[in-house]
Amino acid sequence: MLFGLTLGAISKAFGTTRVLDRVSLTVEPGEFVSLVGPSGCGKSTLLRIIAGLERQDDGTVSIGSRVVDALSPRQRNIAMVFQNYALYPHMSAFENIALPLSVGRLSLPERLPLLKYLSPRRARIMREIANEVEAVAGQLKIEALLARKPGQLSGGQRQRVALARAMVRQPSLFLMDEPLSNLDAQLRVHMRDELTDLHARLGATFVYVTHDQIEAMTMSSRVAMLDQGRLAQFGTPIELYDRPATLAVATFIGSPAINVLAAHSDARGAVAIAGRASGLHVHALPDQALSLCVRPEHLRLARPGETPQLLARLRRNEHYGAERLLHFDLAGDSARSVIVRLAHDENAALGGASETAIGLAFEPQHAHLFNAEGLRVEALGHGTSYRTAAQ
Amino acid sequence: MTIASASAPFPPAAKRQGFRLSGEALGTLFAVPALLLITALILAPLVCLLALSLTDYEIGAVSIRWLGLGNFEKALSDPVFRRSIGNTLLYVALVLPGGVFLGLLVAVLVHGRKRSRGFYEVAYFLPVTSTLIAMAAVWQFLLHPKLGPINSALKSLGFAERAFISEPELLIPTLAAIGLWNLIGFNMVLFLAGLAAIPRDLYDAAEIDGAGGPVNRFLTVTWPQLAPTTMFVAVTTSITSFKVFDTVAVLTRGRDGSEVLLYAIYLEGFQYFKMGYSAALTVIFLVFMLVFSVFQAFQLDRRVHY
Repeated sequence: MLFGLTLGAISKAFGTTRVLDRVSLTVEPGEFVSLVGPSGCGKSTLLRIIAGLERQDDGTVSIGSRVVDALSPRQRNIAMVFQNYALYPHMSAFENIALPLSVGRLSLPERLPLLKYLSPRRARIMREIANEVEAVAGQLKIEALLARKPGQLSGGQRQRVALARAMVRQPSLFLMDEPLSNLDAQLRVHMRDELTDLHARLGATFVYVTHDQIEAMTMSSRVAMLDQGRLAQFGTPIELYDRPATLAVATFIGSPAINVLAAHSDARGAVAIAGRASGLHVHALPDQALSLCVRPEHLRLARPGETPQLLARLRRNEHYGAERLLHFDLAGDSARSVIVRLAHDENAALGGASETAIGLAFEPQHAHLFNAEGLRVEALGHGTSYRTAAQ
Repeated sequence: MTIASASAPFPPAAKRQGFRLSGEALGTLFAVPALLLITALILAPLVCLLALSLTDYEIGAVSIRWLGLGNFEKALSDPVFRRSIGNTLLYVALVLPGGVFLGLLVAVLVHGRKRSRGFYEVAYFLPVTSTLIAMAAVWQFLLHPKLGPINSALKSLGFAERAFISEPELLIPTLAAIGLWNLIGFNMVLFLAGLAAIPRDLYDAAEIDGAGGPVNRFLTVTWPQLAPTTMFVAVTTSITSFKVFDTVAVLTRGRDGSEVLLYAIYLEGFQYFKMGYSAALTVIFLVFMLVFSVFQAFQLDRRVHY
């Protein structure tokens, strides 16, 4: 049974600190949605509210068509995977995975030492539970580890046991709180793959919290970015990348980070960077301080004869094999640096002299403008009267 | 070039003079100070005690006679000493489970408080800081058959008054109750430290798994997570209760069949000056402690660490 999730204007404050401010979003059944944002943006709190571990001050949580605000985590039929796995250390992997089932199907005395042997139906129920545990363990390839305790398992194995414990109850919603952040880099890439596969196989609805924008970009069908307790943008990974709604989204998504330049619009709305024309116009916002952002791959060395939009000095040249990152200090403002990303075979006539300023250029349609509040501003490109895009 | 200049600050190994110790010899050398201290402070006195326990040494006596196991035979056939063993075991049997479970109960209750937590911590810990000898006077008054408020309370509830510190069957339970009063605060603090170390994630997981009710939560998370603490509390509590002395010395002086091991040792050694016999009793006391500690350490330790 597939369920979606609807959050209606969720607000939450701890004391006087407002951690969530009217967050609304709808997750379609079977979707993989990531909640991303820098530490302290409220994403984990939001997940705990969806789980029912925390109560929101205002707003409603619905799973499917049912409002679940008054229900306990168990009644919401959600499963959660924690950053530190949260396995019960005194129980074997089998017992850990079986716990959600045995708590639901056996009475308290049937789970106590000695007393449990008095129940005639216990053996039959335990057999059923064992079958289900083994089926799930088979899916995650951890059958051989079931007898071990968490202390005898590696990080990746523990994560699988935690996943199995989440899956065994066939929940309507999977919640994951940075499940990969305790794994080493190589294993993280591998588990990313496995989680994506698992999502495809189960077809269940996933809500995934991460501060790692690469995880969010690569795994999710849609990404919700939270910034200071507000929903900054909710869309497909490529929407967030290509049309960031706020400066915070622009700087958070993408690696290396987007280049942020201080710009200014004159009385007629022409946008200039350090006095040089950028080729962008904002007629509605004359005489304003703006942030102009260009992704490293959209920045290039100016061609001979072309008027560059930036002048900069080369500081460092990093070769990654497939690509190259050139780090520049802006002329006249050495505190600001920009990164230019070039493909391996792209020729850069750097001339070798790092003392002379080099001209950098970008196509106006690739630039993003944000006003002083960090909100996206639509600009008109120079010459052509194209709009960056329509919503 | 670079290799030569890099190694220049270090003198070549071959030029080092003086004798060299093998790793093993060096290790022994480092262990010697600790070994000497342990020998001087623990092992030598223990050997002296064992030697004394085989003699009839008395303080001020001119001659000393070898008795072999005579002291032990005498002790184990002495009905008073046998009663003191029985009393001590009864005392431990009451205080050990009571001290562990009441300490745990109080800790769990206090842990759940928010603003009043500080008050309860101090209140339960006060008996630990008070001197039991001094507080025994208060208990004597509280338990007084005629004047004590406990008996007036019993009377007002329709019960007969009891002489808590002279009726033989009430003696050890009364002493155990005072011992518990003295001990619970300390155990509570240990359990509170254990409770604070339980990761919150585990409680969250228990709630998601449907084990969020108080009983399930306690059985799934709290109790197993506190196992190492419980083990430590059980060992310290049993040692403390085996050493019960001050309440007996002040409240009953061993009257009416309230002898305990330590009080018997004290009487023989420091009232009757029979050091040899007293040493034999001490050896018996040590054997009890040893058996108890070894059993707890090996049996429980295997099951409480994950």
